[in-house]
Amino acid sequence: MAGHAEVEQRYRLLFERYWRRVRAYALRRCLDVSAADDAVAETFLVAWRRIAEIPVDNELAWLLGVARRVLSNTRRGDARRDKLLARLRQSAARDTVDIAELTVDASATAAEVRAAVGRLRAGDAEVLQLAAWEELSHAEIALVLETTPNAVGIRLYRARQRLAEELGRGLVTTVDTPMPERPHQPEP
Amino acid sequence: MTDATPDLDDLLRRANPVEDARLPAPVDHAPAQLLYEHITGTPYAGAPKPSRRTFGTLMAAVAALGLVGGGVAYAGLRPSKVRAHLSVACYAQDSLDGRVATVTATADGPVAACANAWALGGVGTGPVPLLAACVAPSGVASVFPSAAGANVCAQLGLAPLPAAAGGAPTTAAPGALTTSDTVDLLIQVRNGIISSLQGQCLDASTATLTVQHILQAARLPWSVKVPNPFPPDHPCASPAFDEQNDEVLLIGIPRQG
Repeated sequence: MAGHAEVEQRYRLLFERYWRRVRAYALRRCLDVSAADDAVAETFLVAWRRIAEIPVDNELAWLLGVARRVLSNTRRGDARRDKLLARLRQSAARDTVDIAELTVDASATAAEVRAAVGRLRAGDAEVLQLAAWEELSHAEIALVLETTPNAVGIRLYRARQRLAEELGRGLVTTVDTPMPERPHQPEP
Repeated sequence: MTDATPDLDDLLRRANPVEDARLPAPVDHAPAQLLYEHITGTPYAGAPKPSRRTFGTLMAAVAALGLVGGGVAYAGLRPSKVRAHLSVACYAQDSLDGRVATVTATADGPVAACANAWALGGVGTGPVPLLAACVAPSGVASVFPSAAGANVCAQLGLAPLPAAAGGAPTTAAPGALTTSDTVDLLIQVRNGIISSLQGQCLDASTATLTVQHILQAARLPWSVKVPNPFPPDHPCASPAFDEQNDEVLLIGIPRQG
């Protein structure tokens, strides 16, 4: 069993390396800074508690898998998490970032693609986002979604086809919403 | 299985609503540091880069001394003494502007500590390179990847880490370094304090006495401070080590487990 110093060292490296990635993932998923930061806080609390379980060669995918479950509201009744979030909410150091300013491409085409992704089934949208926006491999996506890399390949193929169809329809419709208005929920 | 729409991935990438690079890193983001401190119960140390401003000031001082009286060698002004023994800066490139990860010092020395961090993927990618240890202007032992035979410290204008501080005069293979008595003592004391406080919930006064006893036994002239009273929901003492002020800080954290 690793000593306190080793645990803290690994956690610090994990935090330094992935805090921003996990936050970006959470922001993409819920498009709400407070909700995203709460999810990030809970994700890293889980990581601290279960650091021995985190695979050294798949740390980001493990963290995103936790963040995904946190965002799907499947975890409840955790007193320490509630206290942590309460303390952070009371702090003056909350962030007020404007998500619109974080967008890679603010063009109408990009907005149309985002809208098309928002119209897909949640499962299709999620696998596309993990591949394109999180830049994860099939194996990493499989870890996040708790499935197999082969299944990920199939799901990605079908999701791309559906997105292409959706974009075909979207080209003759007016898109007023620059980004999906609701968070994508993972498949049950 | 081929992609029916080759440009779709590119379209999707550009539709990314949140670009990672536009978000701040933890070292530049107070809420992230607060989160870290709340979770771990220890102050956020982050991955600070050695101050370029300090380095610039130092170089200006060197130039001024050279103009006024001359005779003061640059090497004599480079900080060659490690002032922070419990942290090590591991650089991903042989440059002060490269990515840096700060890790906890180990009894095996700064190079071994950074080699371990490299192996865990916390510094750079790929196998652990040959590493060289220098002293950064901030007084932190700093470890850089190095080509065989290269004198990275001199190239960066830094002093090599003295062998007595766990360094070597030139590049050395990871794990091949000696450690000084000072570093050993500090690390032993730190580990002793951590192991004395973990696994139980000591209040501030009991923990203060425990830590004072360990410091006195080691004849280490450090003091113990409780910067803030422990809140009721954070009743257990957790140590943090402030090397600049030779202090052990006791911080209240929630009960574990």
